[in-house]
Amino acid sequence: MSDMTASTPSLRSGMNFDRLRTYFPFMVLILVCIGFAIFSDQFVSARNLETVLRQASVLSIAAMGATFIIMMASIDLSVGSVVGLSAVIVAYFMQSNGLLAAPAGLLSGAFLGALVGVIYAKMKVPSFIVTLGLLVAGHGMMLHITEGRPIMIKNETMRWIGSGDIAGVPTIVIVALIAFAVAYVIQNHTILGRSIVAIGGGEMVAQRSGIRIDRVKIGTFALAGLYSGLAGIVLSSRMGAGSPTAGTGLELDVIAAVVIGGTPLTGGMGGVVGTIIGALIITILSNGLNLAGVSSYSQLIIKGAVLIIAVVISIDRKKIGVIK
Amino acid sequence: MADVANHMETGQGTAKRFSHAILEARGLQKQYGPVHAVRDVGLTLHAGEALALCGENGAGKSTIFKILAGEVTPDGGEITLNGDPFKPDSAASAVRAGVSMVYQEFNTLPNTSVAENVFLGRMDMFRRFGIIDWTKLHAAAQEVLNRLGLKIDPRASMGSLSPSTCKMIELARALSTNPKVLLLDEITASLDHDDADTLHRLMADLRAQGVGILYVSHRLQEIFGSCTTVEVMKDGAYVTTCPVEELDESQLSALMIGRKIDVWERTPGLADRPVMLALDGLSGAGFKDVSLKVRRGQIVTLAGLAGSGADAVLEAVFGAVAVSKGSIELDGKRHEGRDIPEAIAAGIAMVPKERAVEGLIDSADIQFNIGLAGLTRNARGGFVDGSAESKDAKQGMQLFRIKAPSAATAVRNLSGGNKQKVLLAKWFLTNPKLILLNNPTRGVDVGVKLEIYEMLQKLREERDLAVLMASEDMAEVIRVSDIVITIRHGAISGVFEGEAITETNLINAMI
Repeated sequence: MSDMTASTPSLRSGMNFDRLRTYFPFMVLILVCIGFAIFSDQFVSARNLETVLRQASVLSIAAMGATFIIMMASIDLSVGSVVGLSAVIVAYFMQSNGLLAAPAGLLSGAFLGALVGVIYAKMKVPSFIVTLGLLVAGHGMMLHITEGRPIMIKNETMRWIGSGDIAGVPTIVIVALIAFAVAYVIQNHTILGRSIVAIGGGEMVAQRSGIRIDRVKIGTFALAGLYSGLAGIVLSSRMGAGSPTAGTGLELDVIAAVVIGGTPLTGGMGGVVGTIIGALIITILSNGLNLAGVSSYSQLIIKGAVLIIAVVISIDRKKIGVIK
Repeated sequence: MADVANHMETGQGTAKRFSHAILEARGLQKQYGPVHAVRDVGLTLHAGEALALCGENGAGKSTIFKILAGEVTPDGGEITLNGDPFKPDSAASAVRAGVSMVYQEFNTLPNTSVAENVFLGRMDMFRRFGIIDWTKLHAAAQEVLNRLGLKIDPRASMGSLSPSTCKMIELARALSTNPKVLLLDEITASLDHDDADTLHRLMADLRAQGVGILYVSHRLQEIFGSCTTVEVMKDGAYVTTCPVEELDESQLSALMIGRKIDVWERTPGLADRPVMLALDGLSGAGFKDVSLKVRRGQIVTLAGLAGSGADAVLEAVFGAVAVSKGSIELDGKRHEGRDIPEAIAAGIAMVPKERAVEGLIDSADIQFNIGLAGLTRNARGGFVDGSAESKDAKQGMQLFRIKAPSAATAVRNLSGGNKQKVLLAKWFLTNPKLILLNNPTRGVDVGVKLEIYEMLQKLREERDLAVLMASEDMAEVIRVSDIVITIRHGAISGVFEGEAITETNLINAMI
């Protein structure tokens, strides 16, 4: 063993770096919690903990879908609009169709994701452009459907999902945990998960290994769309309405959660476990800043800075030529 | 061939014949963390001498080059250039002192002109009233290109040139600095046959003008053709220096790896084995009318110069490039697979040439990489069987003697030789009927090469595997092939078996 480690000098430092990437989000989460616990006596309370978990649910569900896209070294800027559109569609159809409206939210997300995937994979348009277009177009669709006013949700089951609990655990937290379990299995135990990591790590290698790149790209965007759709349902249930401004700006929080969670924009690494931690960090950051009395204007500045810093730390500069 | 003979003649002299030393290095030391990359190594380069620095990967050649080129500061030792202390603190200061290097990697900008690349970083020379005097720049570039005998317009865009020509532009850049000492690191790995010829002629000219050349190449024939002196390094330490005439290739290899190379025994009696692959009149972009047979347990090699089309034939069988005419028959059945997933499903594996781009995912671990080829083999209903995958990885590591702490080690933390073994394991573990090897030992050192040849021999016997290889490494072609098919301009130019597989026969058929 000893002569082997001597002949591969980078082995030890390389492994440390990998380990750091895994544990870094946890350390940041603990530091943030300790920090706010010192500054604010309201931070550590059962009630505030519940608030944080409820707030983190929508973000973490949407961010799990985005994790797959970013692991593939693509990007999705449309998350906010797709989540919002799904929330609006659910509220709209719930007026006449009751709970049957929920699948409509899921399907609209998956459909939009697949559409992005086809334009990206088959027509070779960079994913940030396709999703930037959808971000704007999706918001337009929301305004059309709502005619600029929130659509109220009166369905009791839906309201229970948003604000009720099962044995003391908020229902939407349970929904988020189930979504996480599914994402975890997809990432670690399926061909799709392997293919996503392979495409992000080296698209040419993936292709030569027999992976059908276009199918995986379309499938991954559809999967992420499905997660956005679910996030939209949860968001509408929490707000009790489909608001024309639902999900606005969520894409920034989503990307920040994924990147802080240890999935670099350059792809090929990371995963949904880190993303959950990243989503908690982002949520606690804004919760704690609120409690500390920092204005929402200043919070935007801090959020933007946090995103950029996280990207600076995490990207693999050797692959800088292929960011999409 | 006359050129080669000519080089041999000018290379006849021994170190005594050189008038004076230009560059002298004594006791060079360089440590990276716990690893001694270079331990007490010295060298003397005389005017008109071409000194080949030889050693396996990791012997410390590149570190020596980088120290001399001003890229790396040594931890200890002294260097003198024409008797004066030489302590370059950057590549630019080394160039100013008269030491220029052509790097192994490509260093040209694709969207600029040839002239700009020749004078990259030194465009100030052509500034007049704050703007560039393009006429003067182009004239100066033309002059350098003429010295190299390159018929290229200095205004042409780099993007329109072949990789080989781009490398020649880098050589032109080094020449344009009028170096006293020229460092060439694996330059011929990127050159086609004609450009390599030009380079070797140029080396003779430069030596006649008193320039000293330091040369690194994995191709030993070149060293015997174009260098005068050999210095061998091993594991960062100095081994020996002697004139090339006092060695032959196998002695030099033995010095580099520290043991003698055994000779491959060609396996007789394969001609009656069942045919695994039969190509009939296969044509496509870069190759035409290629017909051949590969039998079970047989290694057939397509030998050609870079750009001959040998690669393209392999790519076509693997489904990576389109076939316009002809047929592929696999194991007696027509293979209709027209893309890579179908080829893999039919039992074809392919070890690609560009390991970093096409072969392995650097950021992922060994197990992930080994499992990646034909993901469906260890999966059911879209779910991957993790334990089967981990068994494959262990088997692959054992079979190819991959040195790593575990299957969870990231590939980027492995040495080049171990990476190549992971790549081979990845494809052998798909249990192919036919394996296509495109330059399977490219860029690995002699020791690992031999190991890979042994494994190849063992696997094809044990598994009755048909192997179709493409190789630009003449020593490799001669060593491992049962049948050699030479490819010239995309078409078969000769078929050689047994005793007929000689360097002279093959080269004549390839050129």
